Amino acid sequence: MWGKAERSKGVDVFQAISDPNRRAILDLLRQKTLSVQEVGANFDVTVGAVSQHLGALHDAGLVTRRKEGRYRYYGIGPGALRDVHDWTGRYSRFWEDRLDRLGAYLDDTP
Amino acid sequence: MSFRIETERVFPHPAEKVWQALTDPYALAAWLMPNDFAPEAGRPFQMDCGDGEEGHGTLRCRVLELEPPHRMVWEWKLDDQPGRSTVEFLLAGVEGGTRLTIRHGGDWPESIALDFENGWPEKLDHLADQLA
Repeated sequence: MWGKAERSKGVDVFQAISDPNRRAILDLLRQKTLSVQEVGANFDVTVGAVSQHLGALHDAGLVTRRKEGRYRYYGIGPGALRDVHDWTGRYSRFWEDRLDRLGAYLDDTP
Repeated sequence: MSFRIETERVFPHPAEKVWQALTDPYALAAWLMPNDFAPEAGRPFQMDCGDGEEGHGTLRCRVLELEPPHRMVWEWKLDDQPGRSTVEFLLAGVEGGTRLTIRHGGDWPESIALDFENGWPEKLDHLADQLA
């Protein structure tokens, strides 16, 4: 069964994805669940390096992980999609609200 | 990771008045946030987020570009988050008033901005080249 993508305490998701390699891996996993080897096949790096990136992403709650026989499969976690939308949604709402307030301020000011 | 938002509004007021509301610290405190802003290019300033939806604590900002009375760009950094973003204010005179466009985008330093919503096979090739 799939393990839950638990957010480890103190691991900031934005720091986890500050590495462009990890964002590329997330983009891959968004299309399809892959094994470590399959992820590695998309990059010209060692499986060890890929494993390390996947571990960091898992710690940040961005990917889910399950073991099937000898292989570990990674999939995109709900946290990944939610966090991206959070930033966009958060700032959209913020500025819409502030523009309302600016309008009121302008109307009230000679 | 990068995000980009853009929103605009037409206000039934002249551009000079809207510009004033964007560059006067007391006006900014009334509609945006408490601040120590001054309209000087390069000058850092802070804003107090309080407990609002925009976050907690302090925003560390800086006036990056100033082109009165139609364009201003700020650096915008939340105190407890890595990365930074920029906010661009654009004013244009239109029939009946002034259009204010706000573009707010965040990029992470030393990074390739990847659009999380789209598959970018050519970016992955580029990345693969870089990793090689």
